Amino acid sequence: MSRDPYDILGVKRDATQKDIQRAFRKLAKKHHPDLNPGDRPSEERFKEISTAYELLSDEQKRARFDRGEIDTEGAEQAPRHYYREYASASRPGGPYHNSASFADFGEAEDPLSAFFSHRVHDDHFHLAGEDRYFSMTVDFLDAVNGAKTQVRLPNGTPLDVQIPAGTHDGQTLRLPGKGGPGMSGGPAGDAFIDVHVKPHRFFQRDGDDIRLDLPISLDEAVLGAKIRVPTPTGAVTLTVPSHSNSGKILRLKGKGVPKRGGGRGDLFVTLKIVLPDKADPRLTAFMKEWAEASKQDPRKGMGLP
Amino acid sequence: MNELEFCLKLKIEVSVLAVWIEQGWLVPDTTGLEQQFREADVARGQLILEMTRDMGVNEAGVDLVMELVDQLHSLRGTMQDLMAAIGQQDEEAQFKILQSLDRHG
Repeated sequence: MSRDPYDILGVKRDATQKDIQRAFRKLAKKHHPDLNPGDRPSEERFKEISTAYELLSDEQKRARFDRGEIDTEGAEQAPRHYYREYASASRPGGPYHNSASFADFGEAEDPLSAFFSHRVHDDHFHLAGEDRYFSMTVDFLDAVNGAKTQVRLPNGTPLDVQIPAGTHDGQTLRLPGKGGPGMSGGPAGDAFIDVHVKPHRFFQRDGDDIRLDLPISLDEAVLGAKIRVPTPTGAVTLTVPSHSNSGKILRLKGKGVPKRGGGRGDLFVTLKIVLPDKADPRLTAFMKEWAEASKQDPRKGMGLP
Repeated sequence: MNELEFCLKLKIEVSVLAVWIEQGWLVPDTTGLEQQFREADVARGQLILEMTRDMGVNEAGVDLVMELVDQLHSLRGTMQDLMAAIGQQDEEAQFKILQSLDRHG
């Protein structure tokens, strides 16, 4: 140690013993390595503070130091192992393990919650039941909107399953405690259900959005119209602007699939112009007349002869 | 080491050790005939000693500090396990975790 012990403790040369003690206590509380487990340099700082205090707290040593009879060397302490070296990896089962500060991490149904609460480790002598795996097929709209349904277990007992809104094809649902029973007081296993979502007649899932091909008549396309459109939560009115082409996509905001973090995706409606079921002579006549006047070539630019 | 060796090492009276154990600041291993102390207990005892003797922390203060120190180390252990588990994931998964931490932070 080469620095001046008075400087280290931040006291004046004429400080009283009480002042020195007060200064040391303040610094020691701040820099003790065991009170700063993640701060490596604190060890060096604390050693410096302790050595300085050892010298200055002893009035005789302090006097000799002031007279220049001894220097700061020689007061070196034996190598020291701080508690933090032993405790840095405190794990469940250790005598000083205390999970009070994080046992509530993770949602109850979150697989991580077991990791934080460590209830798994507390069940040394209790065998947890086996996990069971099932698969089920659900309707498109039940998966989008959520639904309550049942699966029948191999032994015939029905199991209530809540399908969360927004479930997607191939998703696995976990039903905690619905697997095999535990042994000698152990917890039951979990049931895992693979969900297959049936395709819908006209809705198509695209992540959190839904796509829909919507047929419209020629006059609705040309003149524009207010039309009824099916959505997963019921029909709504959609305004088709006049002069809308086939393939035009209109967005119905928030009419898609509920998202996990709240909110919903959108419904994208693709317009498909549909001619009348039977040829209409009046339409045919009008088209002949119109085509002569319009001279439109929609394939212009495709390099056709 | 046994009770006597422990007290010799820390230069404390047996009665002082009795208080520490009674307070729950030290939990010796009692699976054998005689209670045994580990190196970790010595280091722990040193901390207790420094607080009571040098830093002027009273009994209630030590009680509080030890409780929080134990919580802190348990939290650090859990955090280390979590970091190690994240470290074993592929880069994409790690990136996603970082992204989601950014969002929360």
